[in-house]
Amino acid sequence: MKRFNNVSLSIALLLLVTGPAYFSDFAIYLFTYGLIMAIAGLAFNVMLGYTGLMSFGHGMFIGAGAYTVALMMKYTGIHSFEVLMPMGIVISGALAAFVGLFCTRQIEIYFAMLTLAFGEILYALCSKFYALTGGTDGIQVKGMSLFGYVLKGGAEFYFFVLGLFVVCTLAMWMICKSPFGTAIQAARDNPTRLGYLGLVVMKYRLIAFIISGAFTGLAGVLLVSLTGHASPELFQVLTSISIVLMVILGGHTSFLGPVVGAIVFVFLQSWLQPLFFWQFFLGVAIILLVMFLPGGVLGGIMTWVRKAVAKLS
Amino acid sequence: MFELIINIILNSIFYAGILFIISAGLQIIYGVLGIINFAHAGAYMLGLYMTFSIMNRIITAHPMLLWTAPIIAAVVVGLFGLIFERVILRFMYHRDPIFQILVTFGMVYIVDDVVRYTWGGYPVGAPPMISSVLEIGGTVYPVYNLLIIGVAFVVSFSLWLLFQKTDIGRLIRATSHDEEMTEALGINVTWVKAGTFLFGSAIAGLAGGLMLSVTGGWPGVGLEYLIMAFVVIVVAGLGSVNGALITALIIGAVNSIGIQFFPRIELAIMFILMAVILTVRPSGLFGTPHH
Amino acid sequence: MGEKSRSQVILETARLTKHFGEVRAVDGVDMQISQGEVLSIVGPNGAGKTTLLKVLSGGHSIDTGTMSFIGRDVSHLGLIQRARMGIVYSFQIPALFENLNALDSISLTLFTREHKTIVFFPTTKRFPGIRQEAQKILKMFNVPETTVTSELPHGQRKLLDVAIAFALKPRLLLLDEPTSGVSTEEKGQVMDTIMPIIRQRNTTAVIVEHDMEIVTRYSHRIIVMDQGKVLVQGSPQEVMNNEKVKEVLLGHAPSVRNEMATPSPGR
Repeated sequence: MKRFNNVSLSIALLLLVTGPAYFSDFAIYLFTYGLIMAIAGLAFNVMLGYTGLMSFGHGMFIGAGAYTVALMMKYTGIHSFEVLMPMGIVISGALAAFVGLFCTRQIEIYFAMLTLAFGEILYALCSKFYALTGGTDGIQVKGMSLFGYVLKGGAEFYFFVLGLFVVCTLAMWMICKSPFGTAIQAARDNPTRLGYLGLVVMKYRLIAFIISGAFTGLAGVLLVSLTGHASPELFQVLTSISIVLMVILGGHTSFLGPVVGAIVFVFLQSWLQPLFFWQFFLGVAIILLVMFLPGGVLGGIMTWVRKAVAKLS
Repeated sequence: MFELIINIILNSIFYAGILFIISAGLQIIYGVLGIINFAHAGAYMLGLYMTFSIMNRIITAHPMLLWTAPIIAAVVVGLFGLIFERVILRFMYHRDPIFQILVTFGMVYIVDDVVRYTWGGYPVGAPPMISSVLEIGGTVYPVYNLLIIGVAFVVSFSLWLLFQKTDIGRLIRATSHDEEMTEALGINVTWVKAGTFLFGSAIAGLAGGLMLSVTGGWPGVGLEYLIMAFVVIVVAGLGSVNGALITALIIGAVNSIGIQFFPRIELAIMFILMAVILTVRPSGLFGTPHH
Repeated sequence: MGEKSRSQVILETARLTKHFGEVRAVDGVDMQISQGEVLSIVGPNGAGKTTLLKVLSGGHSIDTGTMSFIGRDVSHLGLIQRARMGIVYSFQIPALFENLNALDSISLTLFTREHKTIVFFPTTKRFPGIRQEAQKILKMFNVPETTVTSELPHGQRKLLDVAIAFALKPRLLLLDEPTSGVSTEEKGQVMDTIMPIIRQRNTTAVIVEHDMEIVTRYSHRIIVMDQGKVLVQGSPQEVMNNEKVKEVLLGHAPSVRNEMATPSPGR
């Protein structure tokens, strides 16, 4: 079983690293998009898979990261990643701390609805303060540089994102395997017992939420750099629900499920969205997944492989 | 000044009325099925668009029967709700509440695109059935809006009657309270659940149908009102219909005052209010503490 | 049963009362526990045993009366603070981390004890002592390390629940019916696993139990409760020879291994 994991992981990584050699430009773009959303998905799953809380407002962190970049570029002219990325992370993290103070003290369904509400507030604020944020038109963004080197689009940016993706994945893997990671899982499984051990459950949920928000904010920074445009829709519930779908598509019960889900989702979206009925497919996908494949694609594959391995031995 | 106050008061009650009609359905569904029904947004939208179509059909032949349009639409929406409950939702009853919500959320997007497909992605509207205005204390106010306030009042009174005085109401309350017990007493809980969902969806559809002539409809309209209804039910406490009435009035007032004096951030004010109330009373103003 | 050490009183309650509406579940309980003592609480269903234990743990608030622990008045402290002071509760219906395995559950408990839960990197290399201690504890309690908790049989779930509480090195261990739901044959096994560990570490423990044979075998002192009040307290011999006690615990003479049909769910 472990061998299967290692082999498939290695193959996947190899594919990703050598990709630009044979991918079309559009495929490179999609994979870049997919890896960015994979970061967001992993971050989201810190809350869902590990802490047991589903946020319906994670779009607000994408938006926060995106607008940090857009507003900083617009008002200070800074366009270097080495400044924009930490800023995006810090601001998203701060937003998560603020929102989390209200939301993490609640039970799961209230948490979901409050995060939804906060996302909508930010959407409303962003749309209405036209002078500051460009309102529903959004803000154009381009020409970011890394330590003075201007990244040309396509393959260069792809490798930049790939590198960041690997770093973020390793970071979140470490966090999930750490004592803190065990603590949030315990908070998910039996918050009452955690109290009887002397721990304040809300504290752990809040910290997890901040970590989740910060990484999602980084994804927002990268996303706006890829698409070149920051708009208020990022804060909206559709963005948030898309993240939810990605993660349950890939599987929220495994660490890498969200990565698979994000990449598959991005490809599906590019294929289906030009068709008129993207939301219909979204809705149907959500219902079918939740009802019939709750472990997602990766969960399904793992179960199938486990069964096959058991049969063979 | 006085006219302004009257206007704000009327708008508050009006907004509260619509919010209450929508929220009441949510609360009843939550009480009996234990599910927070996002698909309510779809019911609202379907009710609105169907009312539009029905009105278009009958306006030339039977202009005096226009008032039946929202009611017919409500019934049809109720039936669609019933289908959703029987075909999809009931398989989710034993699942994690978060995933139940997700399924109802999926339905919102399905309905949204169905509406887009059927009616095109354009906003729709209709002139109110009664276009006259009433002069009150120096200001003029549309009679149609007062009519809606009247409907909200009728709905709330009927609900009170239903729950306190009728057998069906007692069945619904019993099932909300203790489903197993009620079932053990020989009541067909499945029907109660299905019927409740039908009823809840129907009144959401009614709200949509009534609002066609006020704010009109557009793709995504359902979610907007639904989110406000969520603020109401969450602040009121899940399951409490009485609480929803009072909270709807509070929210209506805050909204109207907000729009008047702090126009761009009235939404933010309401949400902050909700966040603060929930921090102080996590189960809502009238809710029962979480287990 | 060995000599009870003449050590200091670490827990003392005075007129402890807890009511639920009209019902006085715990009615004016005065009790004391000394360091290293094993105290059992027995009584018929509804006597208030579990409620008393929960009040001691902080899970229920005190209505009137006081409770002092190691010289401090803890009456108004909540369950989190009491746990931090060393009053650790183990559940009648095991409260476990279903998706973690026993090793992770105990390791987490140890990290909690050592105040190392807000650590964001994996620690098997940095704090090897914790993993070793976790393994040792699980060996003592005879619970497999790597089986996911949700797949453990009931007996091992009970043991794991106690192990988690025990891993905190509690100053006062509160065991709520450690053998409830366990088959009669297994009860002995469970207690034979738990009690020697408690004795060896000289842990102070309060145990709510129904099985009188277990109670008399392992306790230094017994409190008999009835209708929220303390009827009698004393050594097993004193209690078992008491007439009032015999009445109340009808059919529970220690010579006959007997027990109530169903354990009290407690209030």
